[in-house]
Parts: sequence; structure tokens; C-alpha cells
Amino acid sequence: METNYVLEAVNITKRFPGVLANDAVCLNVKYGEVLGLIGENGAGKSTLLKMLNGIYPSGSYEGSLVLEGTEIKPSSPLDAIRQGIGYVPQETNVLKNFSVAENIYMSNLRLESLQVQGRHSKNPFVDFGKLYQACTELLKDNKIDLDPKADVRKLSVGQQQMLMIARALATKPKVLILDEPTTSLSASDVESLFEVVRNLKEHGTSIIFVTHKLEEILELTDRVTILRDGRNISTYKKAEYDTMRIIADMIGRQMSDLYPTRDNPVGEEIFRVEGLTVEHPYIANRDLIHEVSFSVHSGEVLGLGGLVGAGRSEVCSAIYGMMPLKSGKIFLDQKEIHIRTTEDAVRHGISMVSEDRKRYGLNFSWDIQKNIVISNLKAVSHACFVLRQKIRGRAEPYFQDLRIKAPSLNTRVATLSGGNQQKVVIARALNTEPKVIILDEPTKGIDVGSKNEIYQLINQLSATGAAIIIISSDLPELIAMSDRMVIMAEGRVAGELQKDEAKEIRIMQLATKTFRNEEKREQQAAV
Amino acid sequence: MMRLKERNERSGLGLKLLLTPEFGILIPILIVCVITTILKPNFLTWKYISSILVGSVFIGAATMGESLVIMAGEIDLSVGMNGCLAGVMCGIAASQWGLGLVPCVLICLLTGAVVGALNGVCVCYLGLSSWITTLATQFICQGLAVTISQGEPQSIASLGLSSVTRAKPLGLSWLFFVFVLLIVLLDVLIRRTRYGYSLRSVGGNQEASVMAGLNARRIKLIAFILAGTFAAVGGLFDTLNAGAANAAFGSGREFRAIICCAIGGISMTGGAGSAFGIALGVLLFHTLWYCLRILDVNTNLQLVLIGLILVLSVIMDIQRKRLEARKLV
Repeated sequence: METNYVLEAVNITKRFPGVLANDAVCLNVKYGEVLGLIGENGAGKSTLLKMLNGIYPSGSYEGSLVLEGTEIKPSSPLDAIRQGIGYVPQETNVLKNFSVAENIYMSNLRLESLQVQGRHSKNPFVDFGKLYQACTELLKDNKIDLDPKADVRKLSVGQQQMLMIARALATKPKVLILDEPTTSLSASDVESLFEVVRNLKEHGTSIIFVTHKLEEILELTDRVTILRDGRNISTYKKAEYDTMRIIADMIGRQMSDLYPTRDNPVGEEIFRVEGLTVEHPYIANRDLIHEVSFSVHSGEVLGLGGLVGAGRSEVCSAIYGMMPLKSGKIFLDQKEIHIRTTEDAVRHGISMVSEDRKRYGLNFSWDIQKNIVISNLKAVSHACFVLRQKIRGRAEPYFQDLRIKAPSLNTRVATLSGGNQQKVVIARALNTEPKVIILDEPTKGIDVGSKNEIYQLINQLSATGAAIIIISSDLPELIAMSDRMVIMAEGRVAGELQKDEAKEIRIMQLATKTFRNEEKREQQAAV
Repeated sequence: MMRLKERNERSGLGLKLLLTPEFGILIPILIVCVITTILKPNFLTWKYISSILVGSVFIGAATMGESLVIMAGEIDLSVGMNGCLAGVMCGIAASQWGLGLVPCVLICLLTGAVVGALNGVCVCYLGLSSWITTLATQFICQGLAVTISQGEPQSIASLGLSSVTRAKPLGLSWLFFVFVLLIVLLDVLIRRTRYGYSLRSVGGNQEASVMAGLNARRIKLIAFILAGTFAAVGGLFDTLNAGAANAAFGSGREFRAIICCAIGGISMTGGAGSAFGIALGVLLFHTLWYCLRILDVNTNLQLVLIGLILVLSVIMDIQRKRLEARKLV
């Protein structure tokens, strides 16, 4: 047995009824390295990780796990943590009613693991002084910028992600698994996350870094293992990295171009917002978005750029009737429209796909066809009765056009992969036959193949004359897909860029603009 | 698994029915009946059976309303007292205002609907929890019913219905036929109408439904209004059956209605259920309760047994969902 591997997974095979999720997968992690794990949705990454961290207990699969030369059989996540495997899931699951320190040490509030052997504290109370001290040290050692006493509710998504990592690190893992940690992070948050990872690596912790984003693999990892259809496809060292080859290995075919080109002409203006302002729900005298104006033309893709928290999603929620407007006007075909509910928005021909697929996504106990037709029941009913035979006919074209990979229209959406669920969400939005489509992070957390299909779909839609507003934190995607860009910062429009002047540096300049002086002036004027 | 599926398709209606969640309720009903028959041989006579069928309509009406609210992902604790107040209003309209049958019934149903609307507005538009809101309206209704009736039964003899209520077509009270009709209407409402689809969608995932352009608030408000109206139907049944409205009617009915929903396969998290299941749930609950009574089981022990049945039915529901999920993989 070679000793330079800290963790080895040997010939792991995991079967689900009718599906071979992992077929003799091997994975090994060297001491102090960052191993990238990449693959499309459904490639078997999550399954593999769930075995490593004990969610699928030892015995429910074939093959063996070897940690530092000895075989381990994790029977539960807690067991895996004790053995030295830390895991940070994709979705943040912080305890919102507790402080940062309490979150980190929740399972170990008496800090027993930190105490000298044999001196077990019998004190049934939590020593908060020590707790905060331990937490401060942990955060400092790992260069994580968080206040131990901070209220978790007030943390941004990025900070919550850091908190999750800190929680895993508190158990002093030998191997830390990060499952798509950057999905919901802004560029600056990703940068600080990378800092933390590099620091960990220097201190000898090995990291398995799971991601969909190639740039992250190229930038951060020392080696990359590619999975496809539950099998190992290849492993490359940093020196052998080649973007096209990795993509080809992931999707199993050569992809000519991730971003398909679009050449349909841009038509008349069909949608415009003027001076959109939404009040902050909790803080007085502060606006979530302030005087936002822009317009979209027929057949045009407008990109809304900016950092996470810049107010892009809020603009779309406000347009879609999910947030009350303080002031501002919305025009469709040059006529002012009033939108108070999502029902109004849909009736006027506006449709939206939300970024939070889990929360705003689908009715997971329903099948595909019902999830698609629910947005436009009028189309499948006569008077107030739904005609069941019409449901299939209505859903079928979307099922075909969007190439949803499922056995049939009756398949329950809960069993679909993330990319296919996203396609069902998009199908549901298209079922309302919208003139304006808002796509909030439409490719978040889905694989390259599905991304490419969604890009092609966006192009098809714009060719039919629909106006498309797309929000994306993925800059290359935003630049490639939009005809024009509106960059937001601090809830305001920081600037507008045409396609030819949209460079990443220019966008970041605008996105990091501050409006402190303007705010001051406005406040003085108000007084 | 594929073979099983093929077999299902070939075997037609019989086996399909056997595999429905509703059918699972029939088995305990049969078990209860068999045990009762063994202990009391003359149980399987029309006298007892008709009595069970007719007796179940009172809870049944309230359960129908409750099921809609639960399907929308909320809860209504006021259906019992709301029905009671509606019944009292009907009695007052007949005995003190001297109104005819149609206005009396309308006043009764309207009372229920107004209370339901009050619940709905508080929950959907003011953002209160449905538990707190409907608990409050439960007290309000109870207090109003006693105050208005001054604790006296309000006779509806002036409506001249005594001959009608005593009439027994097919050996059953006509209330039973009204109940069957309502169940059929409810089935159409849930499974066939646009509203039914919207309601189940909102109960299944409210936020997703809002994204899809459904007006979740209005859909839930309508569910509460319907629940109030069905509760009033229950109160009306009580009043017609007894010939007088009494502020003591309907106490504890909301919890029995929730139990019937649980037994009848209404998902407690919202989004799923059928009128057929509700009818069977009510029937099981009432059969059990009735059998325990005719077997002279101690009242307190009755409660224990009913509690156990509730837990068992929920366990069965969970197991069935697991089985279903496993089949899907």
C-alpha cells in the first residue's frame, strides 16, 4: 500500500434499484493536496461523497475506504467525522438562531475534544468565554474572517459558507470535502474561499474540491479526477490541464463551443422600467433597490450583472410582483402596467425562473407534466374544469424541445437530476407564452452539457422575438450570452455596457462602485 | 419491477383499486366490523349499518372543509365551533326572526363562510399563523354561540320540517344523500377543476406555485371560506337532525375532523388527498367510535384506542409513501 495517499477509495460500487450509481470508482487523495472532482450532474459525484462521509453507511456498497493506510468503515456522518473526514455540503445549513461560535461548536459545546486527556469537565454549563476564545483561535488559524459572536441571520451567503467550513474544520479533519462550495458565492467571496483552501493545504489538510466550474479547477486544484456515468474517466495532474480535454471527458463528446452564437436582429423596445425603488423590509430609510431604470428590446438578451447582494434578484422579484414597489413604473409595449402579484405579471406576459430551484422550483410530489402545465391551467381547461387528456398534449412539446431526460412525462420531478429539474422549471415558465422572460442564474449548479442546452434555448427564444433578462454571477457566461449589460451595485444601476465594451475588468469596476456620496447627498436633501 | 408494472396495467380496475391508498382504509374498517360481529352477532344488520352511515355525516361535513385547508398546507381549528355558531344562527333565524327555510339555510352557510373568510384574511393577508388564528376564532365562535342562544336550544319547529327530517328514503336519513352528493362535488372540485389543481399545487410547494403565477393568497383564502361553509353544513345537519340548534353541538369536532383527514390520506404537509379518501376516513373513524360504544367499551379506553388508530394510520401513510418512493428509483 502506498503511503503518500491520505485517503483512498478502492473500487467503490454502489447500486440503486435499476441504477448503477458508482461502478468500480477509485479516488485517492495525497497528503496536503487539493483534488478536484468534476463531472456532470448524475455522474456519481454526490453518491461517492455520500459514501465517504457515511450518509450511505459502510456495507451498503462494495469496495473499501482506506484512511492513512488503515481501512475505515464509516457507519454515519458522525462516525466519518470522528475518523477524520470533514464534509461541507453544497447547501448551507446553518442554525439561524445561534451565534457563529455556537454554530461551529454545536456538537461539542463543552469543547471536550480540545481539553487535555483525562480532565473531562463535569460542568453541565457552557463556558462561553472559552467557547469564544477557541472559536477566535480557530478562525484566526484558518484565516476566516468572521466574528464569533455575530448573529448568523445577518451573515451573507458567502459568510455562511465560510461558517460551514469552519464548522467542519473544528473537528480537525484529515480530509475536507467541499461539495460545490462556490455555487452561490460572488467573485470576491470565491477569492476569500480560495485563500482559506490554500491556507489549509499549506497546513497539511487534504481537500476534495467538487465543482462544475472549470476555471476553479484550473486555478485551485493540484490534480483533477473526472467522473462520468458513475465511472472514473481520467485523472490529470496540474501540468496536464487542458480545458477542452477536461470538458470532452466530462460530457463524453467534443463540444464545439460552450456558448452558441446568436445572430438574430434586435427589434423594438417591448419592456421598460423607470425609477424602480423597493424599500428595505427591515431597515428604515434604506432602499433595497433605488431608482433602477432600463429597457429590453424584442429579441434581445439583457444581462444584469453585479455582485451577489447588488440587488439584481430584487429588481426581478419586484418586476414579477413578489415585492411591493415604493415607486417606479413598468411599461410593456409602451403602456404602463401595474403588477401586484405574480398572477398579474404572468397575465401581462412576463415570466420568471428563480435562482433558488429548491425553494421556488417545483412541486416535488408531482410528475413532470403537471409541474409544467400548472403555470397556465387555462390552456388545458374548458370553463373551470381541467381536461386531463389535454395536459399531456400541452406538456409534450416542451418536454421534447427542452430535451428533458426522463423516462416519460409521468416521471416524478424529485427523481430528476438538477439540470433536468431546471429544464422543467424553464418549461413551466415558457408555458405561459411570455413576451418577457427573466432568468435568474439559470445555469447555477448544473453541468456543462445542460448549460450548453440552456444557452441554445435562450438563443431560440430570442429568435422568436421574446425579450430576455438574464442574471448571472458567472462573468464569462454573462458576457457571452448578453447583447447588452446593465451592471448593478448597491441596489443601483452602476452603468450600462454594450456587448463590444463588456470586458470582465470593466464589469468588475462598475460592480464594485459605491454610492456612499450619492446616498449622503440624498439624505441631506431629504432633511 | 417492470413486470409488476405491466401486470398492473393489464389487470385493470380491480387491482388498480387494490393498490390505491384509499383502499388501505377499507381493511381496518373490515377488521373493526368483523371483531364487532364476533362480539355482538347481530351487529351486521341494517339497523346498525344505517346508523353508522347516517351518524358519520356530521363529522363528515366538517372533515370535507378541513381537508381543503390541510391540502392548502394550513390548519383550521375552528370548524367545530364555527359549525356550532352557524347552527345557532340558523336556529335564531327560525325561532326568533321567524324566517323561512331558505333564508335560514342561507344565513347558516353565510355565517360559516364569513368566519372562514375571517380566518383566511388573517392567515393569508395579515400573515398570522393558521394555528393561532383559527384557535382564536374557535373561542370567538363558541362564545358568540352561547351568548346569542343564551344557552337555550333554538327550535326550528317553525320551519315545519319534522316530517321531512323523519322521512327515510332507502332506510337512510336524507342527510346521508346530501352528504354523498357533497362528497361527489368535492371530488370534482379537487380532481377536475382548475381550482383543485391550484390548491394542490399551493399545498405542495407554495413558493413554486407563486413563481408559476398562481395567486396563493387568494387560493388559500377560498380554501378557508369553503372550510367555513362546510363547517356550517355540519352545524346545519346537527340542527336539522335534532330539530333545534344547541350551543353544545360540535365541540371537539375540529380534532376529529383532523383525525379523519389523517386517516383518509390527506397529506398533513399539504398538496395531496382525495374526496374518496376523506369519505372512507370518516367512515373508519365513525365505525370505530360507534362499535366501541355498542360494545360498551369504557369511554376513556375509547379515547386510547382512537389515539392508537390515528398513530397507526399515519405510520401506514408514511410507509406507503416510502414504498412508492422506492418503486420510483
